[in-house]
Amino acid sequence: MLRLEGITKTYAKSAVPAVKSLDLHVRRGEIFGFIGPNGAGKTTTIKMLCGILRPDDGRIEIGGVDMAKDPIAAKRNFCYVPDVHDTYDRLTGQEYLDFVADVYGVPTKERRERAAKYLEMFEIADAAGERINTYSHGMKQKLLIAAALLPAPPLWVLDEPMTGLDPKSSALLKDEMRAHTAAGNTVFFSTHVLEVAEKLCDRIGIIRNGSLVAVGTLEELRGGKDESLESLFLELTEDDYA
Amino acid sequence: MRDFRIVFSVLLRQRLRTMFQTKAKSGGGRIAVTVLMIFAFAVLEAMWSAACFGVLQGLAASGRAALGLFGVFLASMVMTLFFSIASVIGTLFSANDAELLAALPLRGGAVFFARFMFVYFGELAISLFIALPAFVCYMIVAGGGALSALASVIVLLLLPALPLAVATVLALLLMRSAVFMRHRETFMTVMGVLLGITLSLGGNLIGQMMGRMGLDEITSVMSGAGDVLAGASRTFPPAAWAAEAIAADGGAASALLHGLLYLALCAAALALTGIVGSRTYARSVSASRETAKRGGRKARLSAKSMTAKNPVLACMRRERRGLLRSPTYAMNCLLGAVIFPLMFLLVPFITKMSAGEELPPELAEVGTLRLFAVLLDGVPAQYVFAVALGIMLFATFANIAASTAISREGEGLERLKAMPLRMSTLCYGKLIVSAAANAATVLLTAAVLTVLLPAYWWAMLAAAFAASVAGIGTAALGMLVDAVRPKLVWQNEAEAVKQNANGFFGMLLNLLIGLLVGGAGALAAVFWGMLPGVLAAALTAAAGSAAGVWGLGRAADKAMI
Repeated sequence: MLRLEGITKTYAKSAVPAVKSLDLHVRRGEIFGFIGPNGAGKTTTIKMLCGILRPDDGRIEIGGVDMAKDPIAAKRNFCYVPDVHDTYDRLTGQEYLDFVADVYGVPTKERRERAAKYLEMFEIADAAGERINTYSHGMKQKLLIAAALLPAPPLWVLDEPMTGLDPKSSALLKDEMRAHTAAGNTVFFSTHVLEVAEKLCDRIGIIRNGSLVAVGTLEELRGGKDESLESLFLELTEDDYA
Repeated sequence: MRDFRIVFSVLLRQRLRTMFQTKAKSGGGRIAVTVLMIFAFAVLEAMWSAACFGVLQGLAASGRAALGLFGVFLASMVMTLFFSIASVIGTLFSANDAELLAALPLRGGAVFFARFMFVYFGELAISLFIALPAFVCYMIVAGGGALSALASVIVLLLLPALPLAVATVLALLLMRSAVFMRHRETFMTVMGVLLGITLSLGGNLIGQMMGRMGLDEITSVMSGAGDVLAGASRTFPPAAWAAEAIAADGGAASALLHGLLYLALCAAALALTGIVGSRTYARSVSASRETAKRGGRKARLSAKSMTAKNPVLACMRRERRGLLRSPTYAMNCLLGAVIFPLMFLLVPFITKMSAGEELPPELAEVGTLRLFAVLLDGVPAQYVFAVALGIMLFATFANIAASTAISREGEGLERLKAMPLRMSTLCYGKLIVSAAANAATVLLTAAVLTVLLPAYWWAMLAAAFAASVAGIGTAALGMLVDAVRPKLVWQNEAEAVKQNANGFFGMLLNLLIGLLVGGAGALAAVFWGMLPGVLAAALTAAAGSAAGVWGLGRAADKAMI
């Protein structure tokens, strides 16, 4: 579903690459957790795979479509929840959902059904007619998630999706992620909450200093040892916390 | 003072770093843009200086050079009064860091003053752009000693103080009352637009009246026959006081007296602003950040609005809502579209008032709105068409809705880039809104001109048609500039629109279309007649617009990702 081949990115004012020759393949039907210390290159990688940043080198393929050759077709295959909430705050929640649905070409019947479902699920239906600049932090996050899920693309790319969610919404989102992958789709998400990654992910990738230092199922990462993901993570990223 | 210093220094650092930010890996592009900006500003300033010099030299020949200074100070103050309201609201109330600063142990007054200073310096820069060349020209043609130079420093530095104080107090009171409204942003937008129109038209009318009323008296005063306050004080004293403080036509004592009067008035206005700001600012800001209550407005998912649309139309709706719902954006981008045409309604009133008793009896009997119809009776229609076309084209240049359309997205543009949306689609959606705003200005201008010259209604209609088509091109060219070098990092909405050089670059580029369409239409109309003129203007406008739209699409898809 998602294939990154040798992607590299160096920012304009830096001599050190933020991401170096990163290779990754995320399959259909799996929840992939992307973890790493602050500044390791998680968000840069996500922004590249979403087409926000252009890699200096390498190739990104989403649903079999090359991002460089046909970015629009590639982007139809995924939705993205960013880690910041500065959305179009003069629109109402409903207008924002409608805008996203228009961009993805969601037909009227489906958009109404799905909008109603997600607004009710995240308990923001009562505020959907209000402007986004009156929403709380958590409400904005719920709206961004609802907007991302509404087009129902095969790949979900979620950057720190649980941040700001109340426990009930967080549990509901996890259920949605499982249901989405059970239907043969894919979820790629970054998190700092290792317990969530440990319980939810089929496979986990750990990035450090722009390079992927470990990829696999939890069992594969443990290598037969009886270690928690937390101790494994600290071990692999030891220098960053020294 | 400590709080002010802390906040001001952090805001200043942030602003300077935002101004000089670049994503370019090489410095070539940055240098080219800087050189282009300096060149463009230098050209405009040189043209303005030449105009000032000519006028002041003419006035100096009859010993009335100070009258020129008075006019320039007055124009600068009226401009500040009109244009600063949107800046004040944007900087004080739409800042990204409002919550951050509100949570810190800082006095509300200190935060208010720190932000106010930014507006002040912004307006000062514009005032100096207008007044400094006039002052330099004055010193060349009329001469002046060290005292004049010293007075001028004080006068020039305080030039925006009075109008800005008025605008700020009004904006603060408006915001304080808006807190009680449910739809406070709509209220702010509507009130801001009404306030802008009132201040602008009122200021213009007063200014024009003063030009007439003060002329005889000020002239006699400047030539030593009387007291400057006697004439100009009755209408708008501060500009006359400032002019007299520099010119010293009534002697050193008079200059000192008027300088002190001006200084005291500015100080009082700033003090009043400080008192109102200290008392109301913090509360207004905190009320403006209130979050939605549970049980607010439910979505109407079955409503007509929740239906599938073309992405271009979806982007257009989003752009229209964003523009109309932000008081800062609405006032900066749409207010001019209403004010510019309304200005023409004032012209016959001012003409009649200015002419006063010198008006021939047959014209004195004519109704004010019919004045031009009588005066221009018998003028060939093609000349009226050519002038109307020029006016309407100018109306489309001044609109910065297009040339700041991408910058207004701010850092949120990233989210759009992650969607399956071509940047050209986004730009075309925005272009519809900007072109519609241009068309609205043109049509309103045409309607006003038709009221004044009803016999030439078809010339106005033809000019409106050609200018509306050209308006698509001017919007496209303005947006192209913003697509290529958007200003996406800003702290408040005023930075995205008013303090964005792209608005200026857009106007310069639009001059090209204006020269092409206006030139072709006017020449063809004057030499070959009305119909060839309309055809030439419309065809040139269509060709320019097609090229602009095509260029915008190409530039957006190439430069924005």
